[in-house]
Amino acid sequence: MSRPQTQRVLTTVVGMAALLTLPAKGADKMKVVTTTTDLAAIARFVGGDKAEVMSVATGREDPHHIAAKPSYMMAVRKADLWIRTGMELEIGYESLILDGCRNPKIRIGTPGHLDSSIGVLRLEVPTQKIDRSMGDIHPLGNPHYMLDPLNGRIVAKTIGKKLCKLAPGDAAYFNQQVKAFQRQLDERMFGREAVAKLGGGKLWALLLKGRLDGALQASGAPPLAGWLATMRPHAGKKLLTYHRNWSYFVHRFGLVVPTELESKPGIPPSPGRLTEVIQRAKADQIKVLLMATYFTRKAPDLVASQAGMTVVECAMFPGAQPEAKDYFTLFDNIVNRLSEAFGK
Amino acid sequence: MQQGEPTMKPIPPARGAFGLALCVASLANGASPQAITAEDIQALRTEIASLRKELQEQKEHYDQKLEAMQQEMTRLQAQPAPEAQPDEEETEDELASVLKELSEGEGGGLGEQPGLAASVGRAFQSMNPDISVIGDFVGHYSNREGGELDDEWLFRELELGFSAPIDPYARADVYLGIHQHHDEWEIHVEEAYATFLTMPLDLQPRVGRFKSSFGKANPVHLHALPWVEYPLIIQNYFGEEGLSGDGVGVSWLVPNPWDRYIELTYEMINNDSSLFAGSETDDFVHLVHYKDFFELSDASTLEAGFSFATAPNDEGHGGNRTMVEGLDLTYKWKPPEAGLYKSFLWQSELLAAQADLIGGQETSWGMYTAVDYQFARRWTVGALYDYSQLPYSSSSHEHAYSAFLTFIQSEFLYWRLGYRFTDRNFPVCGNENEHEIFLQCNFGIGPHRAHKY
Repeated sequence: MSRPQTQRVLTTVVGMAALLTLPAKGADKMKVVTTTTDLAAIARFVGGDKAEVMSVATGREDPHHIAAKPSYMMAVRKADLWIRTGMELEIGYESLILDGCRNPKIRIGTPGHLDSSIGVLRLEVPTQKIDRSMGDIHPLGNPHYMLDPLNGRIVAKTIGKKLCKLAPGDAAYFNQQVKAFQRQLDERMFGREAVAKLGGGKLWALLLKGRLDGALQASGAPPLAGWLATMRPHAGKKLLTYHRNWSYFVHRFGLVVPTELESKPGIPPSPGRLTEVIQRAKADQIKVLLMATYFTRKAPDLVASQAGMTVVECAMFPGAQPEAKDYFTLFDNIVNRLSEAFGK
Repeated sequence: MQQGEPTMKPIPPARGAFGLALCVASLANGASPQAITAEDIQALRTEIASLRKELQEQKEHYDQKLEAMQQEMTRLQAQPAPEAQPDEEETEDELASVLKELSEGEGGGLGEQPGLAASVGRAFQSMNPDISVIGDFVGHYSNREGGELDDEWLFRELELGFSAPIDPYARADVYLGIHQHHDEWEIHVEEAYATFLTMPLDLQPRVGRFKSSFGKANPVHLHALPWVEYPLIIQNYFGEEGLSGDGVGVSWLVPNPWDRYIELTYEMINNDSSLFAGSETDDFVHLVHYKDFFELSDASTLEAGFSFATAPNDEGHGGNRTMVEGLDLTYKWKPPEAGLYKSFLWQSELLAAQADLIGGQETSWGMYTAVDYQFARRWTVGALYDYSQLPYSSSSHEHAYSAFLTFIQSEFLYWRLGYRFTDRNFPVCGNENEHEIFLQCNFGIGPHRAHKY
């Protein structure tokens, strides 16, 4: 081999070696993997530029039926933190991913495993022995708690605390991000002026105690704005849902769901059931049918056409509809679509 | 403040006052009237007029300024008095105390329950393994007379599954199968193994009794197949229940620049399977499986695998060996937004075997290809084509054509109607061509298990 050739080969080898030893992009960032996109949206906000966040789900699928694809194991293999919704929402796939990924850092019980349901407000927690004759009932309560913005606020704090624990050097940054997230959420919920006047935490406390209106009047605060103000005129109105996955949203905004299309959670409605629902909707003069995007519209459209209702198909997770880009716009989208349907 | 700024140049107040004082002083000096000329008077008049004008201008200037100030005061008065910002810590504490109250008051009548209070009840059972029971019931009708399954209802298998973490490092999975054999119930250990989950270098060993990782269908339990029975290659080469045994194995996630799931598995199990025909426990089956998984899109995936197994087929501890190679290809499609209602599976395997026999080497092969299409939330339809030679007699072979319709009553129970036509060049119970109809009902009770992809 001639000298220039040898040099060229050497240069190439050294160059390739240098490339291989270069730190990968984002190598210093904390790697966070969440099961669902709502958790990813919050983790992304709280983690800011110090975390690289991805979600196993796309947001478009039924969160109960996510498959444990081996490719997910590869994504989780190098994660520093795994965040799940908990309350058995991930029971169909989580253990396979955690066992298959060979990452001891994120196993249940380790600091890298976070169940974000810790501390959230739960609904429909069974108070009696449950079995499968009742349908797909979750023993720890309804797991779709992220559809209560207050729970999103609590989860942001839980995630923030965990990030502080894993990277104490960035604790001040993460705490600031949690505050910024909560502030934005509060302003979207109650309006900027009410939050500036009374503080987000106080507004939530008053809402929970049922004393929000009195306190706002007494303090001479400006009228409410945001999601709450948009949904207020519809409080007490009835609507139907396909599956019992909107409980937290309807509870927070004071809506009423007399029944679902499914006779029991997870059991597809039979023709007889649909007839019952149509009669109920007519009798109660229910005008809105709310459903997640991952169900077929066949049964809802039939019920709606028979009972003169409007079907509102809505993203339950960021990514399921173009408008629902993150945790805030997820609620913007639901509130806009629902209030428009109620306003008809 | 820009607003109300006077545009006229103000007259310095000192200059006006000086002029006036000069004038008064000159009058008070007692100067004689004679000395005062008409010109002087005219000059004084002019001076006074000038002073008047200056005074008027000053007054106008100050009036304008006063008016501007008045306007500014009115505007400021109209604004609410600035208030102190709410103390963030304080308001957060208030919310925290309300959440605590809700927790202590079991939801405070709001139906909301924070924390893990509700899961306490489960704590009593938390040290027990997850226990599941799966029943598999089959009805069969065929034109054949005799054989294992012959025009009868058969409770084919009752599977008891136990699984739990053993300690922070390993988990155990145990499956006991209870079957009928010549009208007697027999219990046998289908699988019972420990998997070590926290090993370094992406390694995952397991020890115990397990279904070996040969191909795609062999490691799957009977009730989890999309067909009523295992494909013919599995049955003919490895026996009705497939290749399994006591042994050890280790799988390794192969690092690769594409971050693709590539898994390499090595297993060593006792040589007591029908294919290798060994009965000596000091002979082993050595098996290697390579699995490469491609995520083509959010909706579709492709898995390719290669398997190789070898073991002595006599008691000569390796003098005569059998080698088996397998290729498997699986394509799955399930669109995320419609995954509850639509999915598609195409799965194929090819198997080749070379057996050293006394008369020389016998080479045989077989394959299957299957499709399964979910066309509604509870319904799937599928077809399976089988071709298999017999491992020690390649001149004997069979083709089978099957079709299935499955009704998934719920995640925990399904019904399956199956038809199979088998065309053989050797007789089984006197028949070379066989038509079979199956009706299968499979149910499971116990905790919800994760489904392997």
